[in-house]
Amino acid sequence: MFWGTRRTDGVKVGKTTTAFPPLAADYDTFVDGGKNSPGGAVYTGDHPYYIGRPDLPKSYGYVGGQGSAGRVAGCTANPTDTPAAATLHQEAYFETAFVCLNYQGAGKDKIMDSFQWGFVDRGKTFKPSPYLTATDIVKHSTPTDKFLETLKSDYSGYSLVT
Amino acid sequence: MSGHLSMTEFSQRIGQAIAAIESQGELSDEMLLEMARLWNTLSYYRTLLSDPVMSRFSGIFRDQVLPRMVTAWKMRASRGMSLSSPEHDIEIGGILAEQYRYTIGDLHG
Repeated sequence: MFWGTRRTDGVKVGKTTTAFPPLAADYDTFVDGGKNSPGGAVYTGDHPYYIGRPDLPKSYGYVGGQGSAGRVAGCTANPTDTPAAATLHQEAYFETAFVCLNYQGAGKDKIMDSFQWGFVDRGKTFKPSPYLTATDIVKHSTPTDKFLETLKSDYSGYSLVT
Repeated sequence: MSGHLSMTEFSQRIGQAIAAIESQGELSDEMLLEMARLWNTLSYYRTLLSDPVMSRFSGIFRDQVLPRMVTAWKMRASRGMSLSSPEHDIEIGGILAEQYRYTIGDLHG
């Protein structure tokens, strides 16, 4: 998910805005990489992320030089992102989630841990959320209400287990 | 496709890019494209950023070069929050597709 103050050139991105009371600013909002994000979806289908290995670029896979965020059941995770367009916003915040597809075979996806991260000063200074001043990613065992609100806004027909 | 580099070649190109930026001279379109590819490569192989020289290039490109490129090339926000210039056939950041960065074989596996 992305929440950013209006771009410094005045361009609005996404279709909706989100408030973070009591902060005064409205933040332009969209599912990053989704159908309402700049440039449109990075995948096909009406779902808010890549849906499986066949949809992923062949180059996606484990690369030692990308480092590791940890190991689970023998698998190593190295999530990474480079949102260069964050430099177009005075404030740019993200919440990234890991998703279990078809959780317990019941036909719905389950959102697992999520991570808040972002920048102020046009991408120069790390800040994980409008509310928090921290120097590292903030982890959550369930996604924030703002995450779910934005997901629902861009993908109203998508149901999931939280 | 940007191609393959060894770690030694990549380090040399980073050094050349830093020198070009710090010379304060004119940067040609080809030099800017090369720097964008190098920055994408560093973003892809993030462990390299623990090296002070690599980290320095990443910072000065982001702070000094990228804003000028965005304006001069009329770059637009695109897929995965990348910055895109179809005219120059480059995306900076985002999903870091292979054609916009180098592959460093030493770092795979």
